[in-house]
Amino acid sequence: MDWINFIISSVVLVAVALIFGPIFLGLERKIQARIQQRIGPPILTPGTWSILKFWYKKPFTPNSPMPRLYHALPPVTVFIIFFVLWLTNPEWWGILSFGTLVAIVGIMKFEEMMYVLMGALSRSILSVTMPYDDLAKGALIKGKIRRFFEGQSAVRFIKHITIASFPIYVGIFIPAVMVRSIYVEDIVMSQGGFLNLDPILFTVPGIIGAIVYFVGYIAQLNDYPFTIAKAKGDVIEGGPLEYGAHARGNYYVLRGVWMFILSSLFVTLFFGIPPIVDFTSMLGISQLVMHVVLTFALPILVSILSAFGPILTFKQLYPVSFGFTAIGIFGVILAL
Amino acid sequence: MFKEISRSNAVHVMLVYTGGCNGCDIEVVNCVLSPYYDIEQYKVMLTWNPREADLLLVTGPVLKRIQPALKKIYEAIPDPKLVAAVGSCAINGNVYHNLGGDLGSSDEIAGPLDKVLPVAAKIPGCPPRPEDIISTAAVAIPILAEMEV
Amino acid sequence: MEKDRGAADVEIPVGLVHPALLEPYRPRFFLEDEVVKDCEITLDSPHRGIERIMEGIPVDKCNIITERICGICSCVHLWNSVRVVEEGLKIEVPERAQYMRVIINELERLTSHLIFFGHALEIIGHETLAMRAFIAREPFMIMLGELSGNRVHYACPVIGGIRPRCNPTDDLVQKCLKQLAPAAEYLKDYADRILQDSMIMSRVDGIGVLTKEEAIKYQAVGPTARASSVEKDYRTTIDDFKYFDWDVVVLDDGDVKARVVQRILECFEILKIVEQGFKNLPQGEVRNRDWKLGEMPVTTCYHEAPRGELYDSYGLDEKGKVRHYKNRTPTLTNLGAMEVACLGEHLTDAVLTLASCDPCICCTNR
Repeated sequence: MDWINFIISSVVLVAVALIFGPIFLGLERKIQARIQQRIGPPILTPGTWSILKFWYKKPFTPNSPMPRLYHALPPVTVFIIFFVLWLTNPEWWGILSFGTLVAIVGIMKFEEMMYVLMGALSRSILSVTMPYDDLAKGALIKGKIRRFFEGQSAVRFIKHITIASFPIYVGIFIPAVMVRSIYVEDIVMSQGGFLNLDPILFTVPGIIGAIVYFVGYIAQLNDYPFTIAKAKGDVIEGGPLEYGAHARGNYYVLRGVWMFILSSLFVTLFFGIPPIVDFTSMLGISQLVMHVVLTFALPILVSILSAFGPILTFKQLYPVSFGFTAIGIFGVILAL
Repeated sequence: MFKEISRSNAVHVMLVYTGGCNGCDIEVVNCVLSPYYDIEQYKVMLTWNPREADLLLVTGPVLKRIQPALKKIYEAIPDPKLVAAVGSCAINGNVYHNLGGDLGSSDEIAGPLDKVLPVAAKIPGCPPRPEDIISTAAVAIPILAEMEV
Repeated sequence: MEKDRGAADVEIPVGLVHPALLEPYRPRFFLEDEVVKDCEITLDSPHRGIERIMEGIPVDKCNIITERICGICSCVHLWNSVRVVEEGLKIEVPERAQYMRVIINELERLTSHLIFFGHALEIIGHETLAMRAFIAREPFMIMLGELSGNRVHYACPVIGGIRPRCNPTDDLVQKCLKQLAPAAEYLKDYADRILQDSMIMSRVDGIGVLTKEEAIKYQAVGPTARASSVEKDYRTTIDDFKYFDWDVVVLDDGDVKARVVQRILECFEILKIVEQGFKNLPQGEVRNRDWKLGEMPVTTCYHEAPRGELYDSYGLDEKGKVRHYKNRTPTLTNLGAMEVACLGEHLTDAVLTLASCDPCICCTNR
């Protein structure tokens, strides 16, 4: 195996994700602002410059029972989700047959669990410990546990994981069913080489799979309307409330990189263009450029939809999620 | 170099209301949520989490009941940070601190804001116009960019 | 039927500073698996001791302080306070001044309702339509600024009439009339857009129901009560409103959607009143100066604030200084009614229910 190519391609992919992830955060805010008929921030401000600014702030100890674990969660999660990006690169397909969709789904589950941990470990002053004497003696119900906002957010995340992740899993498995294999290599190869591409997206089960994947993408990112666990209306931000200074910079990196990686996975599976890093030929460079250009499609669509969606509570989320899962299963049947 | 560029290109603002008549809060909300004024185009974004903020906007005369909460929120903001007093109540107590009949003026007030927190900018008016609030936030940005921390 | 305040596992207090609360107060929700079983609201944060400041103060200074009890309903506080002296000492108010008082008061009621839409939609999570509410509001703020000199705290009524600054020239009246029509058109499109959006309507439909019996028992007032079939509007008892032709809007359902729709319909009634006011504005003087301050027994006046029933009463001693000032505002009982209405809802819906009675805590705590 060619170690030099392996290391170069892994490092270049990390750099691409770290550059374009925060740009997507800013792009989302800008598009929402234009829909709201105002000018909005410059594209680099909510993502790139904010992250740098947070890294230059003075560090402090957060209010948490295990502060070092709490601060370690975003960098660890970022490292783990990079494996999703690496596993779609052809250099990695040979390693111990890790290049399967099952591995990718497992990593996504891990990322979801991190938010539950964040919620359990954070104790901000904005709820229970606000210095105000309100334990008045008039309440009918006395002596119950007082829960922080972040704890409530963790409980909601567990419900959210069980319900709202179905669409993206079904969306990922439709290409696998069409190609009859869970290996990323087979899915990419079955759509032809770069110059004579026949993407899965342009078939009927492919379109259904793309729509279901898109809905699952919004649910994974906890963006409006699937944002009940991090809603500004009651739990303010949920688990990440106590992140400040450099840790908040890391948290923004996590959000941006996750947005980029899930969109890149969509391009690999549904367009058949994996992120190949090959600087020796025009074909290789143009394939990477085309891949990055196509990753802009999903975040732009998400921004437009999230500008028009309110927070949906659980009693509305259940039917929406099951509805799209049912559409996805119909797509699976069509693909057989 | 990156420190100055990033600090002057992204500022997060938090609003704390300490018990005034709420007119200044509506004008600050007008700056943020009204496309006529839109403070986000000047690279200033609103947040409700003190851990994410750089600039704290305080409205209202600081009442004794809210003073501990205000101090806790101020301490939760990581350095470097600035405080701006919005409106006449925060600057000199307005009518509650300076007018009074037989029983004197109100004794629920812990004083104008600069007795409680170090104030970097004052925006006068009852209430100040949204244009004044935006121009003060724009003035505070270079101060933040140069702060040593 | 008394709602069931059952057992609960967990308490979640919503803090003094929170994006759903525009003013500092402290609700505590007692939950069982995210369903609210009991709710307790603590309301003493913005207490500035206004009634104590007023004891012994000259009555003109009293009016400066009364206006600043609240920023959103400042005109009606000042008008009611001025009415107490006018009723107690039998002071006549000229007709043109009566028209201008009504016009500025109703324009302020309109801006207050538009802030409510912006705030409620922001809590629901729909930032785009919340911003459109502020776009709809801005022409009225500019109009009020030109009529009175300030965007908030207009200081329009004085004892015996209105301030001469608020007396508009004929050009200004024509300009305001011309600005009303496109603003009303935008408001109509905006209201249609909200009512046709199925995601928003599914969030507010059937949530936080306050039945008519509960509304009467817990003394809900204002739009909160009118959305639960209680027909009570103090504007019908006030003399200055007799020149105008308008309807009181009453709805039956009593849920959050009814409270939102009731205010939307009320906005159109307000626009009717303002347009009639500008078209039929009579000529004449605006201030009656031939009265003398003297001793006055404690007089009581009721008025209709944007949120409900407003009560003011005080007396004057022989030097014209204020004695025994008392001021009660509608949110005190409205929030109590909402404490009952939010039982049995999910936590997010309960926070929305508390905000749907449009609470103004600074008024309540004076």
